[in-house]
Amino acid sequence: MTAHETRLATVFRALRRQHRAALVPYVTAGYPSLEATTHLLETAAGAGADVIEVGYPFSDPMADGPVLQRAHHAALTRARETGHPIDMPGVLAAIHAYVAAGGDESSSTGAPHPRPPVVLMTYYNPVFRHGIDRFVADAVAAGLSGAIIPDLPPEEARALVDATRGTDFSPVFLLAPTSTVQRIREVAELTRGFIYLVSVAGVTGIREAVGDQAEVLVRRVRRETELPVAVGFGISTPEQVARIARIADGAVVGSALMSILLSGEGSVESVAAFAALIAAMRAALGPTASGAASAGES
Amino acid sequence: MSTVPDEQGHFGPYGGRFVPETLMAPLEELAAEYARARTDPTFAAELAAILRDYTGRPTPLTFARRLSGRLSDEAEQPIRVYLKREDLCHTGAHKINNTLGQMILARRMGKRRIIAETGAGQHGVATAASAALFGFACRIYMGREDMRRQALNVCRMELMGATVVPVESGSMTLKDATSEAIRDWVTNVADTHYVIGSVVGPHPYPMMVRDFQSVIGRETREQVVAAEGRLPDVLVACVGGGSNAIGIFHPFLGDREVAMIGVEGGGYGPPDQPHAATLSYGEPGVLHGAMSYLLQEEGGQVALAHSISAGLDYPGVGPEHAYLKDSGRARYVWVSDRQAVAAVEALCRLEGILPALESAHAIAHLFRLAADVRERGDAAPAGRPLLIVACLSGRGDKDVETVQEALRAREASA
Repeated sequence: MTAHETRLATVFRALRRQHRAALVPYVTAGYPSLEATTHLLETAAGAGADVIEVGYPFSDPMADGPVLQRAHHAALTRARETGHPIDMPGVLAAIHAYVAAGGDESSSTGAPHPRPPVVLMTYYNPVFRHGIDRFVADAVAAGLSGAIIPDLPPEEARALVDATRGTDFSPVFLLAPTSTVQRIREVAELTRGFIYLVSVAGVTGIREAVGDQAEVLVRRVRRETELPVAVGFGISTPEQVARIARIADGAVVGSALMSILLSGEGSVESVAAFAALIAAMRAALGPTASGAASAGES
Repeated sequence: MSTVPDEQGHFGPYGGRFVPETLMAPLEELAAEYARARTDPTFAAELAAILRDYTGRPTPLTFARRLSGRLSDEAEQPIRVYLKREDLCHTGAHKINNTLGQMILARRMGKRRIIAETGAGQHGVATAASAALFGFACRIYMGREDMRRQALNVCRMELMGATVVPVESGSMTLKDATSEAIRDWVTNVADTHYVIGSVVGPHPYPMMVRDFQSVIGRETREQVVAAEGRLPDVLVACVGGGSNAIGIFHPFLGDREVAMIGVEGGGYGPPDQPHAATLSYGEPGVLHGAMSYLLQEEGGQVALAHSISAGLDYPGVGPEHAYLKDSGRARYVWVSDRQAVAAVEALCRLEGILPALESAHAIAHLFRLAADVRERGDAAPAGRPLLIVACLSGRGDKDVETVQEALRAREASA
């Protein structure tokens, strides 16, 4: 482990002290617009998110199910129609607008604390195309805390890991039900922040049952590392969040939230429903302990 | 002879494994099983027998007498062209060399459910036939647009018991069918083998498919030496993902005197008009599990390719071709839709052979080679004809309607 603690590690450590799991909602950047993304990040923080995942829309999202495929496609189509194609600087600027405004909401308590950290979920080609060193530098400057790259296993991530050394930026690796013990150890070795556990062999999406396979996987990973683990893929209801919270350090919710935004095309009502689902999931995790690192009630 | 790929599947900076974590274990399993099979004489014997008795190998190397005459006239120098007749393989294209090899591997791994992507449908038909032969369940992902263009092949796959799943995302072509097949594999990884149809995708596919297709080059080498007493001066093959090209090139890589030319789909004419000339106009990037050249836009989005040939209509290309291009060992050029259609006509009239639109790209380039020879006047070493082998990777029955449409459009605009 590195000498200094990353922002993600701090958040998970604080939550562990409170015996509470992190709620990690996801939004696809650029849906329905990049301006809306900044607002949705603020909304998610206000509704009780502990960490927020922002998806970089990609033309060929091979790890994503139908809902997030639609979100990626819609974001790219809208961006093209407005003549402002989505690129890395644009997405980072939208995130930065949210991060930079942090701190003032809690200033009344005298001790400003930053907003829930943001991690970028992106396929590798946009990162590679932007340039790996330049990506890390720009991401750090934008206040991004880490990146989850589903098609970049540790074997191919050497350059990225090297570029993030000594920064507050964490590469987040994934583990799946098919991961061998050796791979679990390799990922634990490279991770600073948290490990992302894929709950089932499959793509992202809404599933009726989540848990048994995830539970086995969490136990296997816990045997190898102390690092916090967040579980994603398929979690869509407050009950499922509560169930995952009993076994893991965090629950990632993507398709259920994007499905709400997509069906309302990002309308005011759909944003309210998006916030309500996050709040209900947050409530399912138990009361906020005093001094919790939440963004406060805005 | 070949030093690439390395253990991790890298061809220099290209190749590798850029896939979701869920697929890392099955890819390692596949690589390990293939490594065992590669040195197992019973595997080699079974594959050889099935290629002989079922596929109909060896395929002929046909001397194209009238085509050679036409090209010699054009070049004002003697040119001798041989065609490697992969169009005579069972199911009509070279694709089955690979699908049968992978089917034996699937059986060895105990996987009884087969999935595949297809563009032109030739790989889909080869997979469906091979799965039927082995008694495996088979599901083929095909873009809705390609299903329209290649209706005959859809029917053939269904007759052989495969389920053809229309893919409606993105451009509804090969790229999207590949993404959908990967999603299926991620979901059903325990009992499913994914039969990738070209030298693309994560390690070990580019290496494994290359090895299975190298039978084309090994036979060619023997046959051309038997016919002409020497190695060819030039090999020409079309390149979409690049499996027939790698197949014919590979056994000649160590023969410095043999030039290699890969012909990409130039569509309406690159770089300004839509095309599929990935090696000619793409830049390094990652798609479908490997680093290679890629047609892409700002922000790292994958661009839409276009070629009249559904099998070349792909924005990526096999990583070993990227490696061969950078090293200068092979050269990559493009041929437009229009030139490919003209080559279909030429080969039909001169040789009575109806080539697939993919393969017609290789034939079309022969005319350009002849023109180059005339201009530069420096063909083969003095006193002997320029000896060319073109890979005729598939037959064109599937393309008859597309060609007819193109010819009508040409007449209308003439």
